[in-house]
Amino acid sequence: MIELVDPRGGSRPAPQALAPRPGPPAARRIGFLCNEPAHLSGPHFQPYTVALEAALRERLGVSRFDHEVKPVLSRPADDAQLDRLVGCDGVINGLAK
Amino acid sequence: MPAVREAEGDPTAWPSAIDPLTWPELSYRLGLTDGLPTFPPERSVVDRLVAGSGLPPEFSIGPVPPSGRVATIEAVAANAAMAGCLPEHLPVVVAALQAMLEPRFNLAGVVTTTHPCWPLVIVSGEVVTDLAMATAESVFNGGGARANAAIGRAVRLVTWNVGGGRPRYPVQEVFGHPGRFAFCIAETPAQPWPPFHEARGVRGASAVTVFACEAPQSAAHWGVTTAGNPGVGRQWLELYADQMRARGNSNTHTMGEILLVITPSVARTLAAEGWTREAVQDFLWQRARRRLGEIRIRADGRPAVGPGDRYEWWPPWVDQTDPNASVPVAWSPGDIHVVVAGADSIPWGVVCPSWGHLGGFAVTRALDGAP
Repeated sequence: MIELVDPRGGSRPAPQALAPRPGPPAARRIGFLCNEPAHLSGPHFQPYTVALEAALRERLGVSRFDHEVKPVLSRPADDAQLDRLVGCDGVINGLAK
Repeated sequence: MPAVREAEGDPTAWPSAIDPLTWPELSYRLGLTDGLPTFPPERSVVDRLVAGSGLPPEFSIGPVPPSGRVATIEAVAANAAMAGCLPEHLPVVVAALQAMLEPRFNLAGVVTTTHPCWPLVIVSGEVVTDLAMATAESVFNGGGARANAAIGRAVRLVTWNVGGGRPRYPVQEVFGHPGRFAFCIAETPAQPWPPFHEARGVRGASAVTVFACEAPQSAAHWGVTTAGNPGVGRQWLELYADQMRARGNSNTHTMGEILLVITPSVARTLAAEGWTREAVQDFLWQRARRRLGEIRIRADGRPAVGPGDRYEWWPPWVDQTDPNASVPVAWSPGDIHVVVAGADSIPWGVVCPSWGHLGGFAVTRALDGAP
């Protein structure tokens, strides 16, 4: 018999704490971060955000929406973009081809 | 005595001890291999490999994407044992993994992309001789040398077992890349220029560079007269430039970095004609280009040069409104990596396009530096 060492490595890094839940509905500000410009990956994220905005206004009373678009989908958003989204109560990030 | 001591009723549980003859089937059942057979990561072997790394077993290289599980030296050594590494190979394996985990390399993207690229480990300097690495015939498939194959394989197994990079979920690679089994070459010491890592600004006797690229594409010297041709080197470079600017590669559309590997005889001929490595890079950067109108094309066949057609990743000096703008395949001459390897027989070159602007950029680490 031989003893083996598990090649799958150790535990995942400790998860970070969840962000605190936002306050009263009337104060909410939501950001949209699209992963790539529409002319590169397809035009569908923008119509999707329009539908989401309508739903969020109606159901949660969101009053402000900010929009950012990353120039390249495979790299993280740069600090300037993240700084512009810092004040949001939530950010919806995605891509829709 | 049972062949495998396992948690009763759980075939996926990690066994405390096994009959070594059962390792092959166990490794497949637990998903610890991408299909090729491996050696068992036996405790005494792993301990020797850890000692060879010069680092404590609990030392963390970092979380390996996409799983985020932490690669300790012990885990790396276990995968290195499965790959057939010797203790003296571990510093190279560790340096390669550390380089891959640098943020600019974007390993998460490289592992999971649809594109057929994979980190090529390029070893240069004195360690090539010390480890008896293959630099000549069949250099891209190990050259028959244990070091080349084992180091490349160990890197792969870490991404498989620690990183969890499995086909389909989450690896979306459309066709695959044969280098995903093992992808390691060594630069020949017998060449007219300084070692590759010195050209990249890394001092030291030895170094490891990782660069995510496609499998080598042959650029054979068809139609070029060698005998009595004092400018044959330039003609070879023109031929390589033509291969580099193929319409189907990501470099042509997004720039980034690209690799050219030439045989020692090509390097000697170029040097005799007065070419330095830098001059080769400059020349290729000027020649490996396409007209913008050949790169971006609308459905009706006209060049796509309107405001809505812009590529944000191209530098501002590319006039994207001009269909005759000349677009290089790399951001700068320094992003065209030139390595000397392969058989010292027929003059030949191979081009390895990259993942373009998305990641896998070359990262070089000295082997005699701190971890």
